[in-house]
Amino acid sequence: MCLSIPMQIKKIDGDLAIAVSNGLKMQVSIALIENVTLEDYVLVHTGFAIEKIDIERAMEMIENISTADSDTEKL
Amino acid sequence: MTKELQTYRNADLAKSLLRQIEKEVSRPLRIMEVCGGHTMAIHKYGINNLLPDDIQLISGPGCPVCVTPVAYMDILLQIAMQPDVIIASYGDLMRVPGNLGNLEAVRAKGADVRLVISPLDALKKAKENPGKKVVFPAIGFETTAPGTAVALLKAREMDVDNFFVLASHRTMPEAMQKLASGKINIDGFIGPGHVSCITGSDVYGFLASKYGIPVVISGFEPIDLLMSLLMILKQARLSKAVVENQYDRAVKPAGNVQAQKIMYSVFESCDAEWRGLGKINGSGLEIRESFGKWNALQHFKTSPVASNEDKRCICGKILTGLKDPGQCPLFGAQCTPEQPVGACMVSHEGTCNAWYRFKFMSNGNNTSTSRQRRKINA
Repeated sequence: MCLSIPMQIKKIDGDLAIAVSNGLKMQVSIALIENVTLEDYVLVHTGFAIEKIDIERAMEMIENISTADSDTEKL
Repeated sequence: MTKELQTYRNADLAKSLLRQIEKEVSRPLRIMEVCGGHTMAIHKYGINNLLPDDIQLISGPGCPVCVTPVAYMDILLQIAMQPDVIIASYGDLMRVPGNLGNLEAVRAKGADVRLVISPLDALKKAKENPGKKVVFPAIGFETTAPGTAVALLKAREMDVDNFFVLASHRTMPEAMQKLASGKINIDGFIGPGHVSCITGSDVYGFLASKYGIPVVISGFEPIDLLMSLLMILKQARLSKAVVENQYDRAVKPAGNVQAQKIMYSVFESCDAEWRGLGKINGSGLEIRESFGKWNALQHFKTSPVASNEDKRCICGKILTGLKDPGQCPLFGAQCTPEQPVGACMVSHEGTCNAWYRFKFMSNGNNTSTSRQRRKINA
């Protein structure tokens, strides 16, 4: 029940949207989040988008790992 | 999943993090994950087998199904057996045991029990079946409660009078406080990722400031979890205790304020019973009186049921990290995912279920807790 799936918003109609992920296409409610736009990535839980995903931030976090490991290797 | 997020399953990055973890371990540590999704991910990706022996991962009460009280299931099962009732339930609840059996058993006896993946699906069933009373059993934490609230707001907006919610939502920070103030000696919390999308990360500050326990909010991919463990280990080595947010691609400090507003417009905090933890002040969400018309507790008559729980079941101790499934006399014999005795064996996010699928069945039915260390620097 804690499961949430990252999906991409493809169509918006009021507080409902069509979201896709890996070939899966489903209608989700966007009533719980503000300022959703087409192509946004969201986390979908029990049919509701509960938050937007910041893909840029996700990649920054990955960069930090690589940098930190390089530093560790130097020690 | 996007190609960017696929990176969170990259084996080389995992090896890099494991090297850093090896170097960061300063003393034996007990780290608890309080989200059932994390429990499942840790076992699915075998993370517990890759860590240094000094790190012990223990599972907390983060599986909503597992903490749902027996008394709640008894009320639900009695409602299910009443005439003209449709129970529209999440699949996770189907085999949760109560004193009167479970939803699967009452369906076999003729009750109309249907699966839904969203409370809005349950509301739709109510509109499609005007001659029936559709009851949605609403369990789950802050992640799930706002969706239930949306369904109730829609029911009011559309004046649907045959839709009812049997609410048993729980809030996580209060449960973590109960654990922190107990005697299980937790050195760090892997904070719940999706609960925190709603609550935000700031809400856990008291765990660090009052109880001196590091908290790292984590995502659910293997790289997320390894990063979060590394962040906890660094805090431990430096004798620090702060809240850090590894999952900041989705979790904000203040959380999803819109979802919080919607949730608290329909629910209010109440004291609540947790299976395994007992009563926790302010840890439940009850339907506000203004939505009483849709509250199943006010509409249906039920009675308390005498307990017939198997006294050998140690779910309570497993949910609080005091024991692990390998120490249960029922595990893998009388209690299996097909025929669960305790709630922890029911959901895929339950600790016993995860142990059974990823450890017991894949390890020659050996429930030993010793690690199968792998050479990670190969």
